[in-house]
Amino acid sequence: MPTIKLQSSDGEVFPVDVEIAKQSVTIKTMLDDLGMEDEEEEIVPLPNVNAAILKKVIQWATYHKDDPPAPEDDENKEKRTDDITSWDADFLKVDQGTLFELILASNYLDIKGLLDVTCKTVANMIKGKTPEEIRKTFNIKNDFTPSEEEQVRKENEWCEEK
Amino acid sequence: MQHLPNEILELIFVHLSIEDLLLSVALVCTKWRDLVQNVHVLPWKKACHRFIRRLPPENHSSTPLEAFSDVINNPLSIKQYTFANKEVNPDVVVNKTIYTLFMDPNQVLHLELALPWLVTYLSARFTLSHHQTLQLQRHSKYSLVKAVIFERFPEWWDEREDVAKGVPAAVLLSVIAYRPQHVREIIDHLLETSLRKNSENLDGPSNSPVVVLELMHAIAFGLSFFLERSDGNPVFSYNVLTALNEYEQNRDVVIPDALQLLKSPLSEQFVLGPDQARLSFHDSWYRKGFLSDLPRITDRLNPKPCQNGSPYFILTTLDNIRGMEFDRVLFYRHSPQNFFRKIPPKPRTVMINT
Repeated sequence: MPTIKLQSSDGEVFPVDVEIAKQSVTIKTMLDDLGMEDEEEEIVPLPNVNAAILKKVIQWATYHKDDPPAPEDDENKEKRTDDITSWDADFLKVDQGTLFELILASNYLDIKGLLDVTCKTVANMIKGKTPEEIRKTFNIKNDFTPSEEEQVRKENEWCEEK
Repeated sequence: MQHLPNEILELIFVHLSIEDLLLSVALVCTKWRDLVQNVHVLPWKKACHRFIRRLPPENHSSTPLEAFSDVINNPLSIKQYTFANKEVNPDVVVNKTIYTLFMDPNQVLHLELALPWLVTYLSARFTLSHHQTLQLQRHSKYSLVKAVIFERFPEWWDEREDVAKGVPAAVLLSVIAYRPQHVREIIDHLLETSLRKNSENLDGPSNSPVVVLELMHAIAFGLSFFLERSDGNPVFSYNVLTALNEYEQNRDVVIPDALQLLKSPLSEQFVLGPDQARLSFHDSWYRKGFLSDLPRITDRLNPKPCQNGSPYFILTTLDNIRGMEFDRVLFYRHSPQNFFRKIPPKPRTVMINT
């Protein structure tokens, strides 16, 4: 099986099956555009992804290499977040920093499946929480003035359970 | 989390319910609030249904001032509409005397995102009796309208009689109207129905002309508001405003609230017109003539076209059919300085034969 070499931002080189690497649309496009051939010892630099994250991404892509292509997004379809497979859930039992870096990496590498599941995981961390709990979870500073906060509350109160 | 770019946060937020978004996420911090207000994030369909189901019937206010307080607080600014007579968007074809405009598919997308919210918003604040339905078959966009309403708002469609109901119908028809005249027809229809209903003593609330006209004002401003928020096109609200302008001039109907609404926050708006030697500000801008001599004005607007960073003007319509002529164009609030600053991200240009 042909491989390519992916180089992380901190210089580590990972040999990866081309077919696995091509789950990244970014890499796929790069390979197609540059016409890189199997036998070439080309190294693909990924300046936005460090070794730890790249390793995780490759791990995910390897496990999911036989997945069918992701279906097109349907705007009207309800988004679900309870369809994360147990393998993915285990895989994403990481600290927040790593999770966010995985999101950024999958966005940069354009790996839809990984981006989707990581975003869903974060969404699940938000679900059902109060604003204060969310701020605590993600260490976000409340920068509302009291009157601004009141305004948002008022604007959105129609949606409250009566 | 705060370091994640907005587009990533949006990807996360789309997975959340409307309650999570409005009651929690929007209250976390100002950045998140702004993101939630972005129409791309909200699962509008869910929101619409919930909103409407919960709305107590007496909770309808019909003053546009109240309904559009956020518009007043966040004045409109339509992006980068400048025009050079030698340099236009490929979607625009300029004839010598008329302007033939073409659809930008992105605009339609924006509109589709904005529409449900507008409909929801207005439905909450205006009541039109259910007797007041709008016959659509004669409308040239019949199938389009039906698709929009029936697919997404089945409860707003009376299938048996093939008519759209109430406020959503008025909004949708106003939006797809491709000439002010068509909006006029909607206004006339609504008024006619309300008059007939009075004389036939039908059940249900009856609408005064003022309510109907206020609704139309609200539609116009709601459209401006949402389209602006979503980089949409002002043409849609232009049609409604023009129709109202004409209507009120002919019928001598004045709506104090609506006029107040138009005057107070928007006094900085200006119009371009043949009778005006240069850009000027008008309190009652919408009652004045709009731009009717585009080439002459645009020469002045943009004396040096085709330079990198020079202002642009994009005119589009919802329609992709040739022959969408506009002889007048409305510019929304911009000080002359700001006017030139906003440049589309990826201007495309073509040369045209004049």
